[in-house]
Amino acid sequence: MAAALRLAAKGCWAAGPRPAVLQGPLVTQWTRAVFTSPSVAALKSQSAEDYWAKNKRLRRPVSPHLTIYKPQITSMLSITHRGTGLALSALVSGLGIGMVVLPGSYPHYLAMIQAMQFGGGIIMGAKFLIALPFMFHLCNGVRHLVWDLGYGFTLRALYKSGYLVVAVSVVLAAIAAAM
Amino acid sequence: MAGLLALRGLSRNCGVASRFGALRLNGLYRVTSRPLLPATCTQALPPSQQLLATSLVRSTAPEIEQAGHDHVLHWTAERILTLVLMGVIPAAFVWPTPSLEYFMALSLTLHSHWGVEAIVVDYIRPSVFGKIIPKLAVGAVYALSIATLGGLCYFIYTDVGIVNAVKLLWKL
Repeated sequence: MAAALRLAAKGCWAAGPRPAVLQGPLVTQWTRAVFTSPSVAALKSQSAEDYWAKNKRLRRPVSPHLTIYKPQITSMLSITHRGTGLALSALVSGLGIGMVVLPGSYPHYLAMIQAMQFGGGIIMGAKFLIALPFMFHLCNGVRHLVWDLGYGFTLRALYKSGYLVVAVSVVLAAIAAAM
Repeated sequence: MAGLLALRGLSRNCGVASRFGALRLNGLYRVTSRPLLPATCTQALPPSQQLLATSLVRSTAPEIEQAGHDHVLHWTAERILTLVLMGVIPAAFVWPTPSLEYFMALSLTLHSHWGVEAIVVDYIRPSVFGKIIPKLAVGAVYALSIATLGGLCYFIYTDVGIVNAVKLLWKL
């Protein structure tokens, strides 16, 4: 018991000096732990070289990933969520920045589109194509929030919720296109 | 802080109650954590100090180390904003007042900004693009979001407004 305590107090000399965070009485250590965070430099000093730099230096090839992995509903819906978000963001930015840069007013450009006299089917199709990314992003976003609450991580639930999101998105977009 | 890091690491491994309730992982996956101090050193310590020592673990992705700050607040803010946005957009369509329009423009731009920033940070990485370009890219995202918000506010003030824009477009 006494030997163990002495060993603990001295630390493990073979591994070099103990970091500051493990020195001193326990109360001091706990106080230090609560009010400081291990610095990035301290963590990195364990191995000085960056992961990427090291592997580049050793000229190691990267294993194939996107080119070989089978597309699955999990990954496809995930990237579609990102893609629809990006597209919607481009739409919003386009509207905001475009209406500042362009000379005319919004009704002016609407009238221009109206003058092109597209058929009812084309207009409905265009509305569907605009509504679909929005509805998908909305439905999949709800799916994300459900995950954030901690539910639905089993494989069955993932696949079921995934298919449900796709179905609901299409239905909502169709309703929007009909309005 | 190290204790908090340990707690967060623990909650990724087992079903510890997180802020939003217990994580129902059912032991689906584990995050391996490698202690930075050699095991021979930590075994000589009493158990309370061992817990402190093993909390200095390195996450498997080195890039995470570069974010020296806590991400949890930002993550939580993102989720709250999502909920707010899901309420504001229908509300603005039902009660088309200017204040709701401006608030919707702000929420929309912030949500879109955080999303695009995440995309840029994910793909325009230092290991691929070097040191300068990723920083410029993130700066460009900020510029884009500021320009978008400014443009939307201008549009609401001088032109028909976002809700009317959608309604008029849909009337075509």
